[in-house]
Amino acid sequence: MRLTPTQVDTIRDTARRCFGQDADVWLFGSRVDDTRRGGDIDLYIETDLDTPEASWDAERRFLGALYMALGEQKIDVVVKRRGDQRQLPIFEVARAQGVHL
Amino acid sequence: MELRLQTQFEQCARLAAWLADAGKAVAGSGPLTVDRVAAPSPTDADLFDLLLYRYMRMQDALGGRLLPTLLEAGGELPVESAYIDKLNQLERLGIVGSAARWMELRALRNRMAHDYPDSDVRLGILREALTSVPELLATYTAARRYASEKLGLALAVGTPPDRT
Repeated sequence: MRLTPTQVDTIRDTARRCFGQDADVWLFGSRVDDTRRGGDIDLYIETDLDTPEASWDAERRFLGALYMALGEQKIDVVVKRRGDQRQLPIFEVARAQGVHL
Repeated sequence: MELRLQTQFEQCARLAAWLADAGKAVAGSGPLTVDRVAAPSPTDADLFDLLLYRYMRMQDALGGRLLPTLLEAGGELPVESAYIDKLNQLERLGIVGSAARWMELRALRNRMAHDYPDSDVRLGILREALTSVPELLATYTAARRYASEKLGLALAVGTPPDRT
């Protein structure tokens, strides 16, 4: 995994602050692969927030806070509300390939 | 430097007016719903693209070019300062409402460039774009005020958009 321990702490703490203490975060995509360089930070988040509006609001604050803490960079977030029955293919890919932070 | 600022202000004046028009067009087209975003009519698809495209251009022109040039012209910070330091200075000068909020809008702009499969996300991006158009325009207006009051720049071309 190509994130520093400080970056991991920042991402996890910020996710819990924005999406609730029960939020879980996975890193997936190219940053999981130690042999590659650079690339987007792809994050998959599961949250108990139960409306699209609350989830959107959390995403907005989460990304803004990460930009403030880590500097503006390519960070992509996929959010799964646990109460939402929809199963987008990206959810399964992220969980299967991802590293839980 | 003054010529560069003049040119950038002229460009932002045009973009601001176009963005204000696009915002008005989307706002006047009816409520944004997940259905409209999930399967947009050709007219809606054009309208949404117009708003996002103009929003991104305005953000880039303002945040990426005009505001850094303004700080440089005002001698507010060393040119090589980190983006976050520049942003905090812009907040102190009252040009951006808050550095944290500006970063949210930068993140929003970057998300506009993606095509998200989740229509809830696409709806969120559109709604946030629409609600934050006045914030972008207010930043542009504050930048003009700073340039004329603090730098004595005569901004002959372009008027601040008050059309929203």
